[in-house]
Formats: sequence, structure tokens, C-alpha cells
Amino acid sequence: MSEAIVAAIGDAMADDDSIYLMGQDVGVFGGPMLSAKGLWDRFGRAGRIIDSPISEAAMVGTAVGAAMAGSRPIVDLMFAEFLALTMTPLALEGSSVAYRTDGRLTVPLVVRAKCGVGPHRGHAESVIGMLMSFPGLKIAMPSGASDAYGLMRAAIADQNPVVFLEHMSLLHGAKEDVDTGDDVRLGQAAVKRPGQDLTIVATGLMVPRSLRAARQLAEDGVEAEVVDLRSLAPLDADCVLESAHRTGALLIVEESWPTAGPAAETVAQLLRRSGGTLDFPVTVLDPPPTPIPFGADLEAAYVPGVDAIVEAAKAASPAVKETR
Amino acid sequence: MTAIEQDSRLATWWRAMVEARAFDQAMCRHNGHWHEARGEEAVFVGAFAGLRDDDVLAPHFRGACAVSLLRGADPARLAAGVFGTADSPSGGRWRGDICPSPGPRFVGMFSGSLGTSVAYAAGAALSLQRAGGGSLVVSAFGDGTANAGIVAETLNLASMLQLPIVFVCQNNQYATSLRADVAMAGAGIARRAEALGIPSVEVDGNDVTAVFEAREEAAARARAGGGPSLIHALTYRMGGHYMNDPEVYRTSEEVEAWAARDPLARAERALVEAGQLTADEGGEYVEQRLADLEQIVATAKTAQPSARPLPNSAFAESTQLLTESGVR
Repeated sequence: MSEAIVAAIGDAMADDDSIYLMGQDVGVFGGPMLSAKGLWDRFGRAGRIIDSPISEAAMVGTAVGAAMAGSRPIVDLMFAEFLALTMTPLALEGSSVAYRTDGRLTVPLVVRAKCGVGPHRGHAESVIGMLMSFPGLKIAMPSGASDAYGLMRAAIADQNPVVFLEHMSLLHGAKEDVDTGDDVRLGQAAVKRPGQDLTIVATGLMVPRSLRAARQLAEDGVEAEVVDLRSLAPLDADCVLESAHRTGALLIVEESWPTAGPAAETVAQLLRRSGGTLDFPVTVLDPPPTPIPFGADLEAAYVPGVDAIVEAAKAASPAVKETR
Repeated sequence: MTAIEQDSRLATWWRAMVEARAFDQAMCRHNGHWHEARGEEAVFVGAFAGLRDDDVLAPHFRGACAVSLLRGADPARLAAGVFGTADSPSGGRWRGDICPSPGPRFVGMFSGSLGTSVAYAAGAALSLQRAGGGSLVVSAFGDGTANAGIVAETLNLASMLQLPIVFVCQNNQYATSLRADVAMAGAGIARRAEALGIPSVEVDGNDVTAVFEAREEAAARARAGGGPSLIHALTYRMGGHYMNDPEVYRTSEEVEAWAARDPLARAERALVEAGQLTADEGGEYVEQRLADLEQIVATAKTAQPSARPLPNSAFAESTQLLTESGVR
């Protein structure tokens, strides 16, 4: 997935001179976890790959200013846990510019951030709920290489600030063919596996785990439909509503904090769209409202695993209840 | 042609300062939320006068409307922006006092947070540097803002990248109530900037010519690829931080001592001494502009409210859809 993201950035930079990439160690080093691999050789000489000091607020602040002045910056923030350092320029102000100028001025800006449990233990926080609370800020989160390419191209082309969350367990995972012509839009969910017995909605690492759980469920005769939100803002509640209405049950699987986060917002948007009553039961499988623990066993217990998803799906699916 | 119409640099700046003061004083009478800029005009007029159209202006909030006027903004539309009425450039969505003319060549504030606009200014400078063409950014900030973390980060980044930007610290000696000489530890903002490799100068912020000439030297350096500079302009906030500020933190003797150094009176005296203006002409001109701007601001205050529909999203496309569909 990392190579697909870098390819999307490289292709976009080749098409558009107004794009530059700024981040810590994105130069000759190649980016943290190879997040800028090869870009220095292609664009470094032209000054379009800017190695930044440890100044997250100014990295994003200058990007907001450059975007308003006509550039299309990409900031590699390394880890999502650094996002809180940038919230005033990125979210409180930068994401308000289009509204506050009546659409005359926009902030086309992509902020990349690695998140989730993975090889770099200790940097897992995704702070998605915090991001979701700011009007005007888009949030994309691919679960595989093909979506990652299309979502990054869409994020770079977007007129709004976009936070692009890169899950560290997926960045250097399974190889996948990428269709660079695939039209992926921000705010559009994707059905990753069709099914008729219940709907599982997930993002990031929770998507492949839900797909593995669905394969196990199928062995027990339960066909789960797996919906990958792909964007947390805008959030494609219509897709979720349609799917869950059809299957008759919804299980939301979430890795980030439970309070005022993606799971809570999904439920709230479903209720708003349906007029206050849902014609299917909703179950949420998510971590407790605590920081992510460091110890490997504690971390594994904290994040929903495949077995937990299977159990939750069985408990949630009317199909299972009927056969009992 | 009377002497006042002869276009000496000082006469131009003096008129710009009179315009700034007239708008400012009218707002003091009509807007309880106004932040008075009286006394600081020489800094923002000297720092922002005579720039190129493709330069980016990033004024401090105190003086932002005056800098918009310098760039030719219509005072009636500026006033509408301050009151958030129907003719506001933002349709009433955002306050025009601290964000009068946001655009690709004018940086405004998008919340009350101080310091971020300095980073935006440096980002604009990065954009200009990449485009080539020798244009630059002038970024002004107060003594209070100088202590914000993002300003320290931005000064370092600007020096590291040798950005075409002129930083101007508009030191009015108070961050609301806290004295700058208390709040700023060490030897001041100019020394801080020098420590980061940024050439810095101290100027008399009540002398518009001194501020302009320092800005010109810094601008020449920036246009030639010589990177950022900083100008520390010491001035004085003659009014309170906001209307009805009790000002318990300073003495009336101090305020009176600085009133005697009023930058407008100083420029006017110099024009009279140079024979470019008589005292009577000066007085009449000031009275006329005060009356004109009073009329404009008073009229703007009573204008129709915005009455815009509230969009259901803050994304650019939602905002623009409303605008394009003619719902205004």
C-alpha cells in the first residue's frame, strides 16, 4: 500500500508543478517507513521535496498559507499522534477558510499521517474523532493498495484540506494490483464483500480483519457483507444504511477511540437519515476509552481481532439467531 | 494645485495614515468590538506602502483594515465586512475586522488565535519562492504574538528555506495588559531573529519614513534571493486593547507622553516644515476625512443584515454550489 501511495504522489507531482511535499526525513532518507521512496530522486532537485525540522505546527501552517497562495502542498506528518500539534492551522482555521470566505479562497492541502497498531508500536493513536469534529476537514483511510492510489489522487485533487491516514499494519502488507484509472471519490464507501445476513462496516486494518472474519462466518453459513468506509469525512452513511437495511443487522468494527468517533458518528448519521428509528439492530465492537496500551499482549487485547469480530457478528446476525 | 496634492512620499504616507485613523476612529464610535489602532499607523503604513501587486500582504490584526485601504479597498465594503451585513465580502460568514480581504495575495486571520497567520505568510512566501518572479511577503505581528510557539517555528523555517519575507514586529508595548518588556524574556525579538540568522533592525515605529526605509532594504534583500529579514518597530497603543478596556495596567502619564509622539502629527509637522503643507490645510484635510469615514461607517452600521441561507456543509464545493446557484 505504501508504494501505491507514493506512486499516486509521484504521478500527481509529475502532472502538476504546484504540488510540493514537506516532511521530516522525506529527503534523501526516503521518508519515515519509506513514505517518500524515490521522490527525492525525481523531484528533490527542483526543490519540491522539502526536508522539514521538527516543527509540526509550522509545517502545516506554512502549507495552509501556501495553499491559499496557489500551491498544492502535501505534508507528511509521520504519525497521526502529531496531528494534535497542528489543529489550529489545519482544522480550526484552515478547514474554515472556504466557508468563511464564501468559497472565494480554498485550502487544497493533504496531510499524511501513519496510525494504528503495527511495527512502530507506541505511535498507534489515530485521533480520528478529534479530526471528525471540525467542519470542512476531509479524512480518508485506505485499507488496500488500489484504494490507496485512488484516494490519494482524489485527496490531492480536492479543494479542501484532507487528512490521509495510513495504517501501519497495512503499509507494507500484501501486494495488490493497482488500477491507476480506478475512479475513487472521497466520501464514497465500497462494498468489499457482498453478503445478505449482516453488514460489517469498518475502516483501515479493521477491513481485512472483518474480511477474514467473514470467511470464517461463511464456514458457519453466515454471509456477512463488509463495507469499507474509505472516508470518515464525508462519511457515506447512505451506503451503510442501504446495506444494513438489506441485510437486517449492522456491526460497526472500529479501532479508534469510542467516544465521539467514527462508530458514534456512523450511528448518529444513520439515525438522522432514517428519521430517528432504524429497522435493524446495531452492534459496536470497539476498544475501551483509554490510551492504547504499549505491551504487545495488552495492545492485542485492546484492538478488535478476527475472533472477536466473528463472535460479535454471530451475536448480531438475525440469521444466526434463527438457526439456534 | 495645492501643496498637499504634490506627491511626495511623506505626503502619500501621511494621507494613508489619516485614512487609517479616520476609519479606525469611526469604528471606535460605532463598534463595541473594535480593536483600536490609534498610534500604530506609522508601522503598518510604512511596512505595507509601495509594495507590488503580486506581493502578499499579511498585516497584524490591529491595522488590517488600514492595510486593505492602502491596497485600494472600498471603505464601505470593508465596513460592511466588519459589521457582517449583506454587503460583507464573506456574506456575513466571518469577521471583516481581522480578516478584511482574504485572498491569494492577502492573509487574514481565521480565528482569534495569534501566530498562525505568520505561518500562513511564510507559506505564501514559499509559494512565491517556488513560482519565481521576485515577489515577496510582508508579515506583521504584535509583541504579544511574537511569543507564540508557531512564530518561533516559522522564523526558523523561513530562515532555513531563505524565504522572500519581511517580518515586522509591531510592538505596541502591550499584549492586552501584559507589558512587552515583561513578557519577552531576553533582549527582544530582533535578537531572537538574529540568533536564527535573520538580519534584523530596530526602528522608531512612530516614524513612517524610518519604517518604510527599513522595509525597502529588507524587501530588496528578499527580492534578490537574500531571504527573510525582521524589523522591530517600537510604537505605542494609544487606546485600550478593546473598547471599554479599563486600562488599569498603565498610567495616564505614560499614555500622555506617547500621545505627544503621535505619528500622524509628527508626519504632518514634517510636511509643514518642508513647505509641502500649511497647518490649516492639514487640519482641514484631516477633519474632512474624519467626517467622510464617519458617514461611511455610520451608514454601513445600519445596512441590511446578511440574511444568507445556512449551508449544511463547510466543504468548498458546498459553499461554492450555494454561491453559483445565485443564493446570495
